[in-house]
Amino acid sequence: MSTSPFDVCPYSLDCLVKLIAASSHQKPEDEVRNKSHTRYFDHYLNKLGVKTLLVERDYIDRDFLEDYAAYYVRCFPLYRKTCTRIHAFRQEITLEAVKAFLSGDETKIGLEELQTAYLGFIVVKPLPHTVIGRTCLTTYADNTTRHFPATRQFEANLFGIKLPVVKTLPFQEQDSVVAACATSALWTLFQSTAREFQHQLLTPIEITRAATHLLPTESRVIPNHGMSTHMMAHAIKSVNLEPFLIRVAEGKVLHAAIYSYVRARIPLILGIDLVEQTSGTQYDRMGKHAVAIVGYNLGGVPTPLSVSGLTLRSSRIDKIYVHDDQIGPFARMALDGKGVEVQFPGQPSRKYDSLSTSWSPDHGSGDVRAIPDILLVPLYHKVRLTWEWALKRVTEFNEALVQSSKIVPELKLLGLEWDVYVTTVNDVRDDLRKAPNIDASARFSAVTWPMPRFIWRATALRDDAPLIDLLFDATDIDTSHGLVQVIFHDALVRDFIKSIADVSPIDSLPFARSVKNILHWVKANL
Amino acid sequence: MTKPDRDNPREMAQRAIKWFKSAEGQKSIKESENRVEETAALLAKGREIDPAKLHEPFTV
Repeated sequence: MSTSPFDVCPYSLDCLVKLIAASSHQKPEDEVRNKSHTRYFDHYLNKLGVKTLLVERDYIDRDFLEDYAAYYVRCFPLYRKTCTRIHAFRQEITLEAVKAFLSGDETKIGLEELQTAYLGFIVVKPLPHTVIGRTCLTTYADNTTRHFPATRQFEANLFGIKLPVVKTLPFQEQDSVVAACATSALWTLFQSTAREFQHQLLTPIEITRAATHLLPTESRVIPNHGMSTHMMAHAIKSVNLEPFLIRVAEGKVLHAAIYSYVRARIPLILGIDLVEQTSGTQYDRMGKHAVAIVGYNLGGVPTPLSVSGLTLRSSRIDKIYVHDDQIGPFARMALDGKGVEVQFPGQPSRKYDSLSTSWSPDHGSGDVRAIPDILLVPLYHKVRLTWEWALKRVTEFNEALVQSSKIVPELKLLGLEWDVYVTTVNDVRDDLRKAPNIDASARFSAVTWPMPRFIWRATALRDDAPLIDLLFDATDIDTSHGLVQVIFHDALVRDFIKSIADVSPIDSLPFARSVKNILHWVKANL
Repeated sequence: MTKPDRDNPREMAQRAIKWFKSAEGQKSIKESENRVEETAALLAKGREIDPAKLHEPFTV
């Protein structure tokens, strides 16, 4: 291994394997090559079009340093305290060009060229087996259906060169000592929520301690072999966020709940049961696993939530992107509607909704799938009203529109698609300011209307164009109507609803209370 | 019967209100309330947490 503080090599799987093996604590190259992360990174880096790797030696990683101080420093083998950071670039870069740049000569390569070509980094920890540390790689290229709302811009600093990773969220593998899968998933969540809600950024060892220090435990927690939902909730509370637990065994609930929060840049913990195919539709349980959901793909066909015919944009989700500490960042899980037959201990065998995974089977060559169980949402304490509360109101209002369309079909209020999610007043205002189909005075009024910090926004879409926006106060009490504003993007629909509100005593109409509240608001304010 | 005015929202609203209050409209709205309840029941499944599972560790 070179003694130079950095090195450069053209990208290849062999190069990646050699670098990881050399940076680990005596991990043989064969083991590195067969590691699921290496295979995943090779596929991912090729997809990103990586041409060059730059290796930064003796890199001090804050997360590993805390883990090192808490555990590894007192081990008998001499583990190094510094890591190796592997930077990825989408263009061919030579060692000479980088050396020249760092000597003040920008003729071979310039700052902008380096920054534009930068795709992120992988930290390799000096450990024997679980070596993948803090990893920030940019997402797959954008397209119209792939969305990564929970990603942000992070920045690497290489000998003073600021290298932005435009869209990412840090990932790392559990070390199975101070951190388990749930710790890694929580660590990813906190990387995002710390910026969104301004809280302390915890390292893996700090997360494990926060999750367990108030709980009576039958056994020691470090080395850590797994956290429960209860412990994860404690860790979330330790950074002054509120853990909100949702059971997602029902596929449509999973879609709607994921979208409601991830759309608002809040990554979620998904608790799953991994199952391995034994034959046909028969599967055996492998165990419980936790991943962090950071994005989704809206490539499916919209389908109604239930008999009510309420169609949610979330029903288009056909894949989610997760940071799975045993696979890699932005790993795909497809919601392909495939059911699996499993017998859990103490229960009869039955069929469950499941998702595809990138896992390899423990035994044989069968498929490994995930049965969704719980979602854990880390919320700012003021986001009090839930996705269920918001969707109930949207269902009631949509039913009123469906009834209207039976007698006034020319309004085309049947088959609307609803985009429902929690958001912030700043995001709502920024969006409304640019809404194309509202006249200037209505837009000014909507943008300057007094609103709370957190809002449930429900937008009815017709042919992908906004028709009506319902804004509810997410910080209110759940017995309140919570309505903040109604914004119409279509003058005819606005005038029709205003006429309904003006012509008849609202309380004499046979509608749900939430619909009457909307009519009262329209009558009073439009 | 006069032809409905397709550009007159007030006329549309009057037509709709008349229908909401008719026997047929009332029946349709009753069915609609049942559909809302079914959707609410589906959404409520998100709250069916098994307390025993809260302590099961995620070990994989």
